[in-house]
Amino acid sequence: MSRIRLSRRDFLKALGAAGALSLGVGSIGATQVLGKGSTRGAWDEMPRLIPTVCGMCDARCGVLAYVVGDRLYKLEGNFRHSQSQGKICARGSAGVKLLYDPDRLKYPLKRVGEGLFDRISWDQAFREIGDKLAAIKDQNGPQALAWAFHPDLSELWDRRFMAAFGSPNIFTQATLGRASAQAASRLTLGWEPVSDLKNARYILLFGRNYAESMYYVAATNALMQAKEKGSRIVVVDPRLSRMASQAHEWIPIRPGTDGAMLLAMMNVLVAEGLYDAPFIEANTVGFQELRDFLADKTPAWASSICDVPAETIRRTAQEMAAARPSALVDMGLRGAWGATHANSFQTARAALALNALLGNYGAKGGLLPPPPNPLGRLQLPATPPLQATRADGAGGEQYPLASTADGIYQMLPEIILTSEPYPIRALIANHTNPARSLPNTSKAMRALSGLDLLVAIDTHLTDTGELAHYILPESTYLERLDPPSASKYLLQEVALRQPVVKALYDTKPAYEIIAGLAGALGMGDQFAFTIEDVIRESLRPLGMDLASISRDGLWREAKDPSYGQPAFPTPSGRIELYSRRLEESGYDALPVFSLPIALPREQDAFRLVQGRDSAHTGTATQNNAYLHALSPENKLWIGATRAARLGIKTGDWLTVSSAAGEVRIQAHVTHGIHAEAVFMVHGFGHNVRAQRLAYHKGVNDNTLISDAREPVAGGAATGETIVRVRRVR
Amino acid sequence: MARYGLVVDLTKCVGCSSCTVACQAQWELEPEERWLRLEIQEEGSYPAVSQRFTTVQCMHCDDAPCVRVCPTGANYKRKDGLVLIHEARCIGCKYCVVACPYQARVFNEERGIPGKCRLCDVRIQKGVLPACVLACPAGARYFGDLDDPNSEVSRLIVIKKAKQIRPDLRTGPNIYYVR
Repeated sequence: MSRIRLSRRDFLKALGAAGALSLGVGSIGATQVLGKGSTRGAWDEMPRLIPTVCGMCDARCGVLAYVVGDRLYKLEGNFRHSQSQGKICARGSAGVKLLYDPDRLKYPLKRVGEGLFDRISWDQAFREIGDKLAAIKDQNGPQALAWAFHPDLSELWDRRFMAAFGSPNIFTQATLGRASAQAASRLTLGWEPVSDLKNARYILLFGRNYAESMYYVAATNALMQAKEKGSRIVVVDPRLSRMASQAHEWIPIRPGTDGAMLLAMMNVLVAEGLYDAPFIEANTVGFQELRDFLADKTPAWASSICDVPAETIRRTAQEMAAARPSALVDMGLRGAWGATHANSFQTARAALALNALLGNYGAKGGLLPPPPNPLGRLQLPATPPLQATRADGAGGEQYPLASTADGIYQMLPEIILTSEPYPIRALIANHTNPARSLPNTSKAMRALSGLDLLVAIDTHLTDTGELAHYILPESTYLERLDPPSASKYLLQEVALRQPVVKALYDTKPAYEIIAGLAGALGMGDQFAFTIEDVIRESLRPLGMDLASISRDGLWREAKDPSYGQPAFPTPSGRIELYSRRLEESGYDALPVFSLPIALPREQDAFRLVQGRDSAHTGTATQNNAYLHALSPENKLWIGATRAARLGIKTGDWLTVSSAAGEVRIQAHVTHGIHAEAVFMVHGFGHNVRAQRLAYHKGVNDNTLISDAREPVAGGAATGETIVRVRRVR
Repeated sequence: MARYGLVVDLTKCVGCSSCTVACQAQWELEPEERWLRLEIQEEGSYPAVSQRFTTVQCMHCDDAPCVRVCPTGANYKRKDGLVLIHEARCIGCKYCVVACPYQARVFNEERGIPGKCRLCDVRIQKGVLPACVLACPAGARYFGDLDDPNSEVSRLIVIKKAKQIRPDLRTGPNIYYVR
């Protein structure tokens, strides 16, 4: 284990923001934050500071672990890491409660009956799972195995296992989050942009919630620095999020209609000659077509669709034009169009086009290309070519532009239940919880329960785990070494996740589990490499090795993001406002707007909007003691006017029903939501007794949510869910 | 001698509770034990509505009611401005819990001690920022010497017109808020 000692200079850097601190600072060693003198935690030993990478969400911010003896005391932001800069979110600090959660999985389990599990050895688990997989392969072909995972640093192993086994059916959570926007960005720009928030003078956020969905704590910091310097922040969102509360202006919008507002803003920029003509001339294709298309997309047209005053749309466009090129529409994570409605792909295209009209690509305070990944790759023998095509049609005839690397996760239950286009009989779920993460829970549960083999790899027993035949306990991110993480934020940077304590229980990192399974299937020769080999080859181009990177935990050269003319690796080499590729695939070549498919019509009908709060990451953190205490359950946000009409008051129990299911939840009556929307935070409603804090707390939104698909990238169109709300009498 | 305090810029606070959990982790508090809490108030009506965030903790008052009412002298005001507790002298009578106008005291039943923010005394004596200040993703929290007119906090109070909460109670709170 490496140990770092901060020099005084480093330490003052850590103080950064409060540089004017006038303290009589003595010599500073590694003891500075030891709670000595407190009645709690009076340790005899000095803490060691171990730099590592947070794993409470997948943003991978650098953290410093304070370790006393063999015990993790505390986590703080790593001030040297550009994604955290010494700062840490609530979830990051709460990592210590993940490590020491008494409800963690402690050894491999085999299901022996309804809700009954026996402890087994790793050898037995690998052997039995291997035998079952081999039998399924014999009977149904290798494509009958599906693999779902939350992309983490051990992705190499997940993908290689499936390639070696011979199945194309690998699924990530992308379609549940940002697949639509990702596909739109790759197709339009050739890359996924990063917002230079700190230098932007006008920031327009559609649903992007930097307050409650912190993805890079430094991004939230940059946004607030921009605000302090006088930049304008405007939030368009059906809900008054905490981000919207901290913006200069909240523009409530009818959910699912963001695309119309974006088109109308572009109409204003073009009609009033406010756009960056030289930038458009030099960097885009299809402006003529776009301009013609925009002619009738006036603010008045959009106003009736979006329920936003035409004047607000016009003014917002004009204000942004005045601040260009340091004015941006943030492309967001899930937000308003990551994978939210049937129209999300084209809505994301409209946002990309609006940014082009502002000429902000590559500009200070604009949208920048992500930093290039500087890591090397371990050369491995090729795996045999795949025989089968994907069961979900991604990359095939039905979804030619959907990512074959990510698949269309929410189609998996349908495929399992119908055996169309062919049977899928086994699923390995690595660090993902389809029984709670997938839309339409009852359908997902039915599909998962009917599998011949379900294996869950996780730190906790989840609802998926309860249905699984085998449960393989994963070491937490604080107990394992992982391949280096390359930043996707502004700077080219590499950070290392290293164990801060020894594994507390009989758990393994996912990559060891996967290699163990491969060994049992006779595929061991495809996994004849170690984590150390991967790290060595990853770091080789940087002139570093495991020993040298483990001291500081990171590598970085550049101090500033790279501004200037970016390259656009699209078919035309330019920003594709008009896309021939879309046209050839049978889609609209321009960012057309279409209304959401499902519309709320009755008095008690609403569109269900789901989102985050600052305490939780997906379905993974509800049993964390600190985070559970902050946010134990969700409520249904409902607008005050319509709530009054329906006789609903805060605290009332409501029945909320949709085509997919029904839940009971308490009302939170507020002025902070559009009349047609109701909102609940995602991730609650765990039905697993083994998660003692989270058990039966709050409501699982996916019980209600439709498994509709956005037609281009296959993103989950979760917003296509209409619910009826009534008070329980 | 210094008089330590905080400036909290609520125009930057995003209501994320990172300060709350950083404090809990620093002092290994129980999950429901918060020395620093976030209060949220919805103001206005649709669409002109906003949520107002305020983080509340011990204000380290100059004339602290908790010190006045403490029958055993367990609560005391240190020369550098911190209000602290001699835990050995505390008899758990909870007078201070009731006396604090900011409801900053959190009684720990197990230990029989009314806990509260200590302004991270163990950190600041080593020249390190309090846990909540360092953690704050928004950079909304500032620590320093309020008696030093050149300190960052003193300058912020002047420039950003930071105010105490309920100064009319005349307890002399040492946490200032920018709204």
